[in-house]
Amino acid sequence: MVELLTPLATIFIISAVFLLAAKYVGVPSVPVYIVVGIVIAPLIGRGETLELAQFGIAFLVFVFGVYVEPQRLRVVARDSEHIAAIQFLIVGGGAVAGALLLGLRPLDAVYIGIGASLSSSLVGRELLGENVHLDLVYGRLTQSIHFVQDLFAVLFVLLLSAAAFELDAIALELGYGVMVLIAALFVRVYLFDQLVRLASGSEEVIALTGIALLVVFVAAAELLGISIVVGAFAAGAAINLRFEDNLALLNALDSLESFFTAIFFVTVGSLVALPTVYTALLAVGLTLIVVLVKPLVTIAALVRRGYEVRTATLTSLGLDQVSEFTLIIAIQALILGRIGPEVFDAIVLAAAGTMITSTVTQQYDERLFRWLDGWIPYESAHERTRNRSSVDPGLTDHIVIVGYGQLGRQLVRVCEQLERPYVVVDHNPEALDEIRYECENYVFGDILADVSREIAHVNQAQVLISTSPDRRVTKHLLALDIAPDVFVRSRTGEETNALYEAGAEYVIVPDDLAAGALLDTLESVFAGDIAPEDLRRSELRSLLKSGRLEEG
Amino acid sequence: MQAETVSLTVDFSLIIVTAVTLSYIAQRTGQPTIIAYIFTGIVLGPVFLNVVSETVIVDLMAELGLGFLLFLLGMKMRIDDIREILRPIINIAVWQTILQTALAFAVAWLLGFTLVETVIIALATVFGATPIIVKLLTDKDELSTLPGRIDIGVLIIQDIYLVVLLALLSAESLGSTSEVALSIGTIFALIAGIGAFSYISSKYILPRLFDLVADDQESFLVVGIAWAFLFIAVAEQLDLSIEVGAFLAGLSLAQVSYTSELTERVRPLTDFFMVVFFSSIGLRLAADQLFAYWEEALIASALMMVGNFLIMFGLINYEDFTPETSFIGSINLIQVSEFSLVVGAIAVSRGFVDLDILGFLSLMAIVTMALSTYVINYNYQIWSRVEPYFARFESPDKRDVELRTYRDHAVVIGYDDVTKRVLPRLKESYGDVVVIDRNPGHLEFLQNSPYEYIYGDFKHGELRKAAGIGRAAFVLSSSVEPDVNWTALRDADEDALVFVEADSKTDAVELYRRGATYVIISTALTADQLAATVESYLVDPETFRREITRDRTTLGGEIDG
Repeated sequence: MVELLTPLATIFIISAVFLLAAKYVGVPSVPVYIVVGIVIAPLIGRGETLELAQFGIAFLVFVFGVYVEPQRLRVVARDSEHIAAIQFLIVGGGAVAGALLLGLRPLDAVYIGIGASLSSSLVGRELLGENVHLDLVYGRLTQSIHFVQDLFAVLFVLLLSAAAFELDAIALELGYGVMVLIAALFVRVYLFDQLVRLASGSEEVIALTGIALLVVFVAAAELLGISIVVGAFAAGAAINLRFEDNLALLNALDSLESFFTAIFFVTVGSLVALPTVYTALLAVGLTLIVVLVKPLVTIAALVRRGYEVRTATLTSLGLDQVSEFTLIIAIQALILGRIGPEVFDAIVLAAAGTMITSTVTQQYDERLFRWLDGWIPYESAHERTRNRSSVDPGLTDHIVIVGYGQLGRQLVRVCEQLERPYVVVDHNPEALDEIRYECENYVFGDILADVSREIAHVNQAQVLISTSPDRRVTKHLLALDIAPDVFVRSRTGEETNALYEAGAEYVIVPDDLAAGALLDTLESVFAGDIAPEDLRRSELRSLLKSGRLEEG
Repeated sequence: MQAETVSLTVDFSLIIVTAVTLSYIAQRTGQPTIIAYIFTGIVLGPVFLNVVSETVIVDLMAELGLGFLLFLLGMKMRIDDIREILRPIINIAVWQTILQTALAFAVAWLLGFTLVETVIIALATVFGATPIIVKLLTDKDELSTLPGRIDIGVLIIQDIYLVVLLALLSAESLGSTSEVALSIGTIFALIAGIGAFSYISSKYILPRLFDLVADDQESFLVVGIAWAFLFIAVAEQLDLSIEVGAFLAGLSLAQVSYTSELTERVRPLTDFFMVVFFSSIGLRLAADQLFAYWEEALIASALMMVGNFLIMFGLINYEDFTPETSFIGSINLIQVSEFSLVVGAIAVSRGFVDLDILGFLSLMAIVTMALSTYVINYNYQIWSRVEPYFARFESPDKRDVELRTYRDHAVVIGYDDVTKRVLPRLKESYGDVVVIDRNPGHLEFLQNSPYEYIYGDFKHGELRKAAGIGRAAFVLSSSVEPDVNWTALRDADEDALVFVEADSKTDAVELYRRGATYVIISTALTADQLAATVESYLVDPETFRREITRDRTTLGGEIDG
C-alpha cells in the first residue's frame, strides 16, 4: 500500500464516526475534524498529511475566491464592513494588547489578535441551516460580516507571509500579490470564456480547467515567493461564474473541497501537542475574548448603527467563533517558523472550542437575548425606538403590518385604497428611509419588543398581519397575549394547521397559492384553451408591462 | 526545506496543466479524455520531456484514482437496470469472456510472447472499456437502448471477473497450480465474506447511516468515502487488493437509494485522481518500452478488434436479438479497456512481466480506444451502410425485448408543497413522472409512490440524463435558483412544456426570455392573494370567515387523508 493511504483511511473512517455522532448534537463539521485530529494524532503521526492538507487550504480559499463575484460585493449588507472593522480594531486590538501585557512576542500577539477578531464563515453557514435562504436581517448581516472578514483575512495572509518583516519585503510582497491578482483579472476577462469553450461542454474537462487554473496560480505564487493562499484566491477570482456549465464546475469544486478540507482540519488537529498549563491558559483567554467580549462589542456596535437589540444579539451570536482562515494563517506561520508552538496550539484549541460553543449559543440565542435584555442598558434603546417611530397617538382600530417587503408594500396599498389607518413595523435599517417616505405611521423596531407594540398601539388595533417568514417570530407572536386578530405566514402546508390551532385568524400559505395558480394554468394548457407559446408571450408581456421590476 | 513542504508539488501542477491542454485537443477531435491522460504521462515522462517523475503524492493520487474508479463502478451495479435481459446477458458475458480470452491467448502466442506474458495479455485484454462506453453512450443518449443495456450488462459481469482477477494477481504466492487453486479458493471465500457483510449492511446499516447525514452535503460525502476506505482497509488486512475492497464497498451501496447522489459527489474526485492515475502509467514507460512491441501491438489491435466484434456478434445473435441490436451491441465493445493497464501495472509490480508488456498493452489501449470512439460515435451510420450484408441473419423468430425507457414523460425537479399537488395530474397526462429530489425526508414516501424517483441534486448532469430530461414532454421545477432553471431550460426539448418558479419578476422575465412556458412567482402571487384576502377581511368579514372555514376544512381533510 502506498504509504499515505493508511493515514488517509484512518482520517476518513474516524471522521465519519465522529460526524455521525455529532449529528445528534448538531455540531458543525469543522470542530469535529479538529477533535478527530487531536484524537488520532498518535495513529497517523503528527502532521504526516501536511502536504495533502495544503490542497485543503488551496481548495478552501479557491472556492471562496470563485464565489467572490463583483455583483456580490455590491449587495453586501450595509454596515458589515463597519462591524468587521470594529471587531478588528477593538476586539483584535484589545487581544493584541492583552497578549503583549502577558509577555508574548509581538508576532505571537498579532496571531492571537487575528484569532480573536475573525469569525468562521464555514461554521456560520452551517449554523444558519435552512434559515440561510430566508432574507432575515440577522442572517444576511452575519453572512455579510463573515464575507468582509474573509476578504480581510486574505489581505492578512498576504501581509503576514512576507519573507521578512521589513517595509521593503512587505511592499515587495504586496506588489507581487497585486500582480498575481491583476493576472487573474486578465484571465477572467479575456481568457476564461475561451478555456470553457475549449472544454466543449464536457463536465469533466470544465472541472479540470478550474483545477488547472488553481495549480497554475498556486505555482505562480510559489515562484514569486508569496503565499499559496494568495495564488488560490487569485485563481478563484480568475473564474467568472457566469457561464453555461457553471454547475459542473461548482459540483466538482464542492466535492474536492469537502475531501481536502476534511484532511486539512484533521491535520491541523493532529499538530496540537498535549497542552501545557500555559497553552491551556492562553486558549481559555482567547476563548473568553471570542465568546464574551466579541459578542458584547458587536452588539454595542450594531445597536449604535441603529439595529434592534434582538437583531444585534442574534447577529453577534453567529460570529462568536474563531475563523478557519485563522487556522490557515496559523498553520502557514507554523511552517514558516513564525508562530510559537504554544500559541499555535492555543489558537487551534480555541478554534475547536469556540466553534462548538458557537453551536450552543446559536441554539439558545433567543434565550440568551432575553437574558441579556435584563442586563444591557436598554432604556436608551427604548428611547431610540420612540424617537425613530412616528405614530398618530389617537390611532385605534387600525391595521398593524409587520415587515415592509413585497407583501408589506402590497398591504399598505390595500389600506390606502380602502382609506384604513395602518402602521408599519419593521426593524431593517435598510428599509427605514423608504418606510419614512412612503408610510404615514411606522414603528422602527422589533414587533417582539414590548415597546414597539406599545408605540404601534397593537392592543387597540383590529388586526396584526405578520409577513415575516421567520418561524420563531411567528411562534412568538401567536404566544403573545394581544387583542387584535393575527394573520401569520407559514412555510409549509404541514405547519399551517398548527398555526391555526395556536390561534392565528388567518394563515398565509405561499406554496398553496403557487400550487393553485400552477394547476389552473396547467389545466387550461391541457384543455387547449391557450397555446403554450401564447401563454409564454402573454405572461412575459404582462410582466414587462407591470413596470418597475420589484425584487422579491 | 520548510518551503518544500508548503509547495503543492511542481510535478503535480505540470501533470494537471498538460492533461487539461491535451483534453481540449481530445474534445476537439472527439476522443475520450482517458487517451489525453495517458498521453500526458507519455509527454511528461521518459518518452518525451522526462520532466516529471513519480512522487509520493502522485503515487497516492494514482492509487486513490484506481480505488475510487472501482468504488464508482461498484455503485453503478444496479441490477434493476438489466433485470429484464439478465439471462441472455449472463450467457453472452460468460461465453464472451471465455472466447475472447482464448482469442487473445492465440493472438499473443502467435506473436511470439512467452507463456506468462501471453497469459497476462490474454487476461488483461478481455475487458471492454466501461468508462468510455458509458460516457459515449450517455452523451449519445443510447445507454437505455437495448444494445446499450446489453453492453452495460456484459461490462458489469466483466467487472466482477476483473475483481477476482485483481485479487488473484495480488495474492501472495502463485507458484504452482495448487497454490493458484488455493488462492482462488481463499479469494472467493473472502469475497463471499465481505460480500455477505456488504449485503447485510445495504439492508440494515447503510440506509440509516445516510439518513443521518443526507441533509449535510459535506458529511454525506465524507461518510460515503469512509465506507470505501473501511472496505479498502479490510481488504488490505486480508491481503486482497484495495481495488477489490473499493469495488465491494461500492457494490454494497449500489442498491441504496442515496447512491444516485453519492455517485455524483464522488465522481469529480474520481475524475481528478484518474488524471493522475492514467498519467502515471505513461510516466512509467520509457520510449523503448512503449515501442518495444509496436508492430505486435498494431497487429494485435487489428485482430482483437475484428475478433471481438465477431465473437460478440455471434453471441448476441445466438440469443435471438435482431441483427441491428447484435451489430450495434458488439461494435460498441471492440476496444481494449483501461483495465488492461490496471492488470498490466499490477503484473509488472508483482514481477510477472516487465515494462515492455505494459508498453504493449498501453499502445493497444490507446489504438483501440481511439478508433472505437469514432466507431461508437458513428455506430448507427455504419450499420445503415452494412445492413444489406447482414440480411442473412434476419429471421422472423428474432425480436428485441421491449425495454421501458422514458419518452414524452414528465420530469419534476424537487418535491414540495407546490409540486406535490400537481403530480397526480401529470401522472394522468404523461404516464411516466420522474421526480428528482434531494430531501432525505421525502425518500420513503417517494420510493413507495407511483412516480419514478431519483434521489439527488438536479445540478448533476448525469442525474439529469438519467431522468431523460431531453426527451421529456413536460418539465416542472420547484426551484427558484436561476442556475437550476436555466439548466432545465437548456436541457429540455424545444417542444417540451417547461414550468419553473422564480423569486422575483426580474428572474421571471429572464426565464421567459430563455423559453419558459410559464413562470410561477410565488411572492407576487402571495402578495396579490393576501391583498385580496385582507380586503375581504376588512370590507366583508362574513365572506372572509366562510372562506377561512372552508379552507381549514379542506386542510384538515388533506391531513387526515
